[in-house]
Order: sequence, then structure tokens, then C-alpha cells
Amino acid sequence: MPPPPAPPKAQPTLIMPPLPPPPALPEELVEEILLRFPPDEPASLFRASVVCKAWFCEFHRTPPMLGFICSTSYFGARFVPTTAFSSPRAHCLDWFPLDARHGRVLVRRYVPGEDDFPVLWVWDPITDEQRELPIPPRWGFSWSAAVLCAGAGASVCHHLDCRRGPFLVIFVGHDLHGETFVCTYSSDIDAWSEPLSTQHPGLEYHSLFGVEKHTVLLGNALGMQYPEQVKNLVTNMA
Amino acid sequence: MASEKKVVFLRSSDGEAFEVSEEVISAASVTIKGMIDEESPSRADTAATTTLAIPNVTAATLSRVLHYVNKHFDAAAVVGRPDDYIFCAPGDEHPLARFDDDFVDVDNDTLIDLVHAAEYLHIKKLFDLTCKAVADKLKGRTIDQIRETFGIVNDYTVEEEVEVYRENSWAF
Repeated sequence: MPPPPAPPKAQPTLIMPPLPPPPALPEELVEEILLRFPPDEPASLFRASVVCKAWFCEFHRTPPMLGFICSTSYFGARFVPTTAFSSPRAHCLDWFPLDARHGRVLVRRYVPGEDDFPVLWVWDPITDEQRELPIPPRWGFSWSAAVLCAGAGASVCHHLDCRRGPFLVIFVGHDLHGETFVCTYSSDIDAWSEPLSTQHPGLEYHSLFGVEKHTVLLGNALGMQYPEQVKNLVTNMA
Repeated sequence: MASEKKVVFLRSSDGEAFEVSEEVISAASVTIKGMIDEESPSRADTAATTTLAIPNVTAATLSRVLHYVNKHFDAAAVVGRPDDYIFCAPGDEHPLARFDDDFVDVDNDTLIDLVHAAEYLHIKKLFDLTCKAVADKLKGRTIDQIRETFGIVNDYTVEEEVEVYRENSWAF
């Protein structure tokens, strides 16, 4: 004989006593703890950072350095890991890196038959994704190029996880008549802007030939280094 | 000479008072040094011993902190007791490395309490030590174990989690 059903109202509700909350780690302490991870184990630090979004944000204030790109005239580009991470493409004979920033590497590739023009690619060394850029609209005897994030509000982007987002490539060239021009490639529209040019008196073309022009991004200004007799070129990206 | 040393009492959140040398605790804790300096004018002409309330730290944690402080900041204790060095292996970075290792070899709750206390009392060496110990504990754990240990709720959606893993496959 089945027991009679319990009266629905008289039954007291049993509530399990709540477990004591585990010790909370406030944001500033998470930062302090993540800071003390061994610097040579970014993967371990990364794994700790994905436990929740707050930790992820703390961690991503400082992107880890996974390695550097080594460029040689004869052997192309080589990804030299500084951690256990190794790029899917460790060595590329016909790639010549020009610039690297915000997780992207700008490379010049030599394509048979197209040596007269720089064939520029943007490469993500983590996923090995590549994008070939169209030929720039103008070409100078001496040139330099830089890649940078173009994410929404790039001026406030912390560049911590934007490497799959939109990017810009800045191409600066000089012609034989002392004219300097700048054109900008935007990955959003996959096209170059019209070149903006200016006379650059005092710029001797022979002083630039073969000079490696390193770039540096300071806030919204992209600076390119030139020989000492020429002032450094600064392009405002704002 | 020893009798001339000033002492202060620290009263924990649960009401227990601990005696500690003023010189030692001032060297160790920026917070307590500040409290003592504030009290100084009123103490100058009285022999009364100061009791400072430490409302954020329990007796259990405070006694551990003071144990650490006396080991690390009492110059007489460190130099004067050669037996401390018995516990030092030749490769140890400093004479108290072994002491430090044992000091942070505690359960998670105790360790986190020590991190909080070191932060509140502003004892930089202890803060470094305890934060590093937490980092070491996290290092060898899986993501789920870390969440469990620190009671962290996973606030990623399934899609977000898949995306984070996919974009950062280098770390897994």
C-alpha cells in the first residue's frame, strides 16, 4: 500500500546551509599574483588567466613575448622562440620582415617576375594566417612601411587581443625629386589610399638608399628613423 | 639594554593582543609605522604601552605574520642565532629561504589570508612571498582546478570559451 501523499503546505522547506564562500581574490591581488608567474612560462600564465573574464583582462594588460623575428639577407625570416611556443612557420626563405607590431608582421616577399614592386604581406605568426596586400599606388626608389592596429578607437585599444582585427599599413616612399609620399592601406576595405605627398628639401636620395628605416609608434604618431642629416619623419595617425 | 626596547601591542580583529618590538614592526610594516608615528606625540612623555587595533587581520593570521616579521626584520634574531643557518642549503638564495618555503607551505585559505594581511599591513617582502606562492600553486593546475580552488565562477559563454581557446591555441 503506497504511503499517503504528503500535504503540500504543511511540509517545511529544507534549505541546505550555504557553504562558506571561498576566499575572494580582489582584482588588484589577481594582478599581483599573475605578475609573479615565471616569465619564461607564458603558456602556464595564460591558462591561469582564462579562468574568468576578470582574470583574462588582468593578464592581458601585458602581452607575453613569444619570440622575435630574425631577418638575414640570405636566409629570409626566422621566428626565434623565446618560450616553448613555436610558430607554425618557423623559417621562410623568401620572406623579409619590414615591421612587426600588435601581433602582426609585415613582410616583403619576393615573387618571381614581380621583383620591381614590393609584394607586401601581413602575417600572423601565431596562426600562420597571411594576407597579401595590393601593390601600393606609388613607388619610390627608397621606401619604408609599418603595420599597426586599426581597431575601433585604435587610440584607446590596448593592443592586447586585437591581432585578428582590422589593421593599417603605412607606406612611406621618396622619389628622386625630393618628394616624400605616404599612402595607407586599410584591411577593412582592402585598398590603398591616394598618396599624400610633400616636398622634403634637404633629403638627398643617395642618403636614403639602402638605409633600414625603423619605425616606432608613440601614441598616435608613427615615427620613422632616417639618417642623422635628415629629421625624423613623423606621421600623425589620428 | 634589552629592557629599554619599546614594544607595541597589536590587537587582532578577534581581540587577541600580540606583543612585538616597535623597532622590528616599524621596519617591517609601513602601515604600522605610520600608526606609530601618528601616536608618537601623545606618547612622548608617558611610559604607557601602545596598543594598535588591526581590524582586518585575525589572530591566527596576525601570529603568523609576526612570526615572519620577527624572523626577517629582527636583526638581532637573524644574526645572533646561528641555528637558523642549519636549515640553509648551500644553494639557498638567502639564509631564510628554507624558512620562507615552509612559511607559505599552508592551505589556500591561510595563504590568501596572509596575502590580504601583507597587503593591508604593507609588508612588501611578505606580500611578494605570498603572491609568488599563490602563483606557484596556480602554475601546475588546470583551469577547472584553479576555478575550484579560488571559488571563481566561469563567466564565459560556451562560444566565447571556444573562441578564446581557438585564438590562443599556442598556450594549450
